Amino acid sequence: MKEILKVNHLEVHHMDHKVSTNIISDISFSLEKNRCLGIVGESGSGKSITCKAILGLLDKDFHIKGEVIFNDIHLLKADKRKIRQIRGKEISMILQNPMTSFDPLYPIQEQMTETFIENLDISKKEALGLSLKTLENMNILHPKDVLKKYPHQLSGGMLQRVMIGTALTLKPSIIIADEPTTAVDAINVAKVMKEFSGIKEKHNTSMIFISHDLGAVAKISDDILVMKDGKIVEKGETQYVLRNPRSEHTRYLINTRKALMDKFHQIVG
Amino acid sequence: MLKVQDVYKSYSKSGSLFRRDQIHVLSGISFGIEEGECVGLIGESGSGKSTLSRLIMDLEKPDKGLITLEDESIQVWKKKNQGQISVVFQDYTSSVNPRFTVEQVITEPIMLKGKQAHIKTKAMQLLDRVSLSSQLLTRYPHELSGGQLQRVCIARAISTKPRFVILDEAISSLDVSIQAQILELLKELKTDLNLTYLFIAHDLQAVASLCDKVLFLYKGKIEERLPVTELARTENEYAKKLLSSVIAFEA
Repeated sequence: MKEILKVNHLEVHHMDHKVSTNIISDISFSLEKNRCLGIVGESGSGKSITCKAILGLLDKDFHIKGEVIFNDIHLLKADKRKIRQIRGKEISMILQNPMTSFDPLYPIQEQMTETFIENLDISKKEALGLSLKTLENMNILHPKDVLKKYPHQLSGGMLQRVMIGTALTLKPSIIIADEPTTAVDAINVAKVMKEFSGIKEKHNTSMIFISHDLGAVAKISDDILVMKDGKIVEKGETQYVLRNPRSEHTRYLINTRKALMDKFHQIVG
Repeated sequence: MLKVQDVYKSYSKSGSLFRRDQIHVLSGISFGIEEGECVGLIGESGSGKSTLSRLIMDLEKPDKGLITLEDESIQVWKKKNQGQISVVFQDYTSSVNPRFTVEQVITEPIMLKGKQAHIKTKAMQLLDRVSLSSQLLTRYPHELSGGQLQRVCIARAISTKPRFVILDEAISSLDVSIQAQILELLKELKTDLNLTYLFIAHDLQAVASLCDKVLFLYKGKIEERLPVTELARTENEYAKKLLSSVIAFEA
């Protein structure tokens, strides 16, 4: 198994008026080619910050230590232009909050075609056709109307599917999905999850899948990291960890997840 | 208690001048909620759930049809029973004023009604009701976690002693581990305060654990209605599809 992304001793400190707060303390993990790594934890546990640190998306208030190696490139040391090329084409990110991830001043089609033209080097007409196909693939009703709409006219779930579709169409070698299903409906979660597992099989894509929902992570990931307060409390192969949780926090997450669905299972059987 | 009879609502498509170019959001919705019941309304985004909740709160008027509370039209009922219908929204950060302290957030509806004696004690009691410490009174919304802030929103919703509460995706944006806690809280409040709930959600598991009845809304129509205990016996295609899309969690 080849490691496509390696994170060594990553530490993130936040500086606020000379007061330094430790957000991520000494975490190490690696992502293997064609595998999916799930990161699970409650909000505030440092999942999103970890991914932003990897991609160099944090601003100057954050001090980052450690190493991030993607295909022999040290991401934390590489210059800005190089990282920009990698980000988007090689590593795509699907963000948590779809409502703020789009530019409110442009209709969806402008934003999708801009991304495709920039990253895939195709003509405007091709990009438009590709946008339409992307929306159709994501099971969006009236794709032609949706293309002409502005972000505020669409629901969060709809925007999230647009974003997922756009990222998948770029066929990157790593997809980092930060809570991609949180704002999507239950019925579409199943579709989106299917889309995710399909992509992993069909294309040579590795994935980091972040979620607070242990159910979703358990379904899709091969390996799992459980995070709490900026530390990794448990890691290993997903099924093994879920069957033999060693840490208190993993057990707590498993039990609350079970509590939520107990009644449903009693009824449906 | 609540009766919705044959309600229609449509919005005109953007950029079109013609009436027939309308999008029918709700077409012929009828259902009722009895006193003390908890009814779950389930549907995907764009199915018209939130439009329906806005119609029930009288924030918008239906094109056709009738919505009544205790056999009176909502407008009349709301005047007679001030503060007795409440709502908790999905997006807790945007539903509180960021410049208000928790105390101000919770007591705003009470102040609007004009009663101002012992306001602080009341706020403390309300916080206690939703299992939060009274130390939070002087904090601002951004200093709270999502779960805490949603509890504050629930405290605000029950501050006017409502009888009917609409929970519009109230738990959808919380962590799964917190969702279980909030559901417990909602159950407790329901029995203690004798509330009637309309629980709008897209997650069948949450609906199953809280509600007595479920309505499936799809493309503006109610596709299926049945008691929660009979979920497994549904004949409806859409309901079956939703049931099968629940992500099983096995460990």
